[in-house]
Amino acid sequence: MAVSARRRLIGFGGAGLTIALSILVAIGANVLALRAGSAAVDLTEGSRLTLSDQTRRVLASLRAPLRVDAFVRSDGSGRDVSALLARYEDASRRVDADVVDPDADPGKAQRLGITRYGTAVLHYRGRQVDVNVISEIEITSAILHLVRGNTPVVCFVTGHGEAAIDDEGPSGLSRLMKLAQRNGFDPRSTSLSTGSVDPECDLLVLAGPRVPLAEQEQAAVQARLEADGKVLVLIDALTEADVNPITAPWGIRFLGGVVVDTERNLNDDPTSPIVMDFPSTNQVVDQVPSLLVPAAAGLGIDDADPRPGLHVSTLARTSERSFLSRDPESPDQSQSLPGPVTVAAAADYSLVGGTRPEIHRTRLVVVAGVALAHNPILDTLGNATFFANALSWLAQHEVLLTVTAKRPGVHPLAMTPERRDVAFAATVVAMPGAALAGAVLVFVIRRRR
Amino acid sequence: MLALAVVAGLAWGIVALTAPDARAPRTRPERLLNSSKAQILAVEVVDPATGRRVAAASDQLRTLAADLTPLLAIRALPTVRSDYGLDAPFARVEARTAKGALPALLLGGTNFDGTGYYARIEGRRGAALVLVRIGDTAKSVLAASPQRA
Repeated sequence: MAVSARRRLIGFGGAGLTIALSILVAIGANVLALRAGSAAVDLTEGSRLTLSDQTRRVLASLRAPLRVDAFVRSDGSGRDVSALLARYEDASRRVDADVVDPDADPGKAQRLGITRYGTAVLHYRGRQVDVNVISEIEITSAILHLVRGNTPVVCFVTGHGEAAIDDEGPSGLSRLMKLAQRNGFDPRSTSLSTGSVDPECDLLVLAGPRVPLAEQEQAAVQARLEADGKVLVLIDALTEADVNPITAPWGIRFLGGVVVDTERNLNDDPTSPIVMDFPSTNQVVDQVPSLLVPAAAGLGIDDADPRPGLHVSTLARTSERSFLSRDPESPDQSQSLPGPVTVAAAADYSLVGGTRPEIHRTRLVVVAGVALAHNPILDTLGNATFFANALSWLAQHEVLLTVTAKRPGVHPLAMTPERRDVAFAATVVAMPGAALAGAVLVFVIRRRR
Repeated sequence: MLALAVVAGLAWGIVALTAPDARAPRTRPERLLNSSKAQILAVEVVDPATGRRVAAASDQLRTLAADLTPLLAIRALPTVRSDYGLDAPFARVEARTAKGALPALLLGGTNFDGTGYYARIEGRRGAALVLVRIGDTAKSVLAASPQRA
């Protein structure tokens, strides 16, 4: 009995010692891992968790400190952003990044004008750019933009009842102006009354003219487009202005009317369609999940590109069940055009020509609606992203997007009969069989004792 | 196996407690006040700057009672910062039940996107974001009614 008790005591002591040592080893390993901090090995396909070579080249071009403040919630997505920005900090000593929870630090969010989660603000040599989607491609594009340092001037035409950029009311564009500023543009008001477009204007915006443009004003816009101009036209059915002389030579015609969409709309208002169909791969609709386009009209796209080097694409169109009504109040809709209705289109004209070879590049975005840019609507759904993208595309900033994002590859597993047999054998036969064999083995060993 | 499980649990606990984001704001709704709607008999809103005390009218009482029973935090924030506006709250909401007064709710400023008010339960640590409707209703109580004796 005494021997047995001693053995049992030794057994308990050995087990206790083993547990204590295991605990010490586990704690030590965790403490070491915690102190190691940023040490990591990226074993993902295509090294998705490592900065691309393009990003490293952009970071190498930094000549001054770059400050990045990312405003995200401190949950899972916040940790992802934190990890991404840590990679930037590791890659360049000039990058100083901080992840801010805007609820926990509202003062900082207010100082930088943040009104939504998932925004990063980058500061470099006194310039600021906001990024609304925090990903490597967006951050690196913004850095490249800052490093290049140009600030395109966006001129909003006035004098025809257009929505004004200094109007903070419900029909104003003050939020669009701030969006443009945050994205590295210099928004200004301009007049065409002189018969020419201000040469300082890099982009021209016709934001819903209500009355017709004078002939000389129309000619000025046409001339600007012919001279590699970049123009954004917003127009709806309430206008008396005819923009077709400006847009039709570039393959886009304004049809007027009012879109009625009973399938996708806001608050059961069929004249406030929600657009979710973006058939092109144009940058303007990149990362735009949906658009709210109240009082949308329709656009017609020429089937054949009307001139060599011109490519016209449909950016956004309403649902299959929508239609373009001439009079939405009328019970007779026989004259209506069946949907889907194009509500936004882009024309891109590029040609190498001239005696001394030159690259001509004209860009035009036409949106059959104005209200989607108004202050109360701009921050709804993907409207703000759409306009930020449109300005960037018009300014030819898409070259920044040559920095490629690493996306996880999709590898569908074809379930062939052979694979099905293997899966069946492994999960139904081998694994339960192994468990059963183990149990039998234990039983036999115990019986022998 | 049991020993390994204990070891793993202990190690995880130590790492989790010492990790830098252990004190991050909680994003799940948290009950700040527990009470039943039927219990709330009256709600008074006090302007802390002037001491003005106004009783909520019946429709305001209904709104506040619904939001105070229970009072849920959109987010719980572990620390109270000066930019939450809780150093000088604009309203102190006092609810009375048959069993007595509930702890007072102090209301500060709105958060960055205007989807919540910073708030704190008097006498408790930490702050929280609560529904905008609570703050707006408290403001309407203070704005609409004359001073009550």
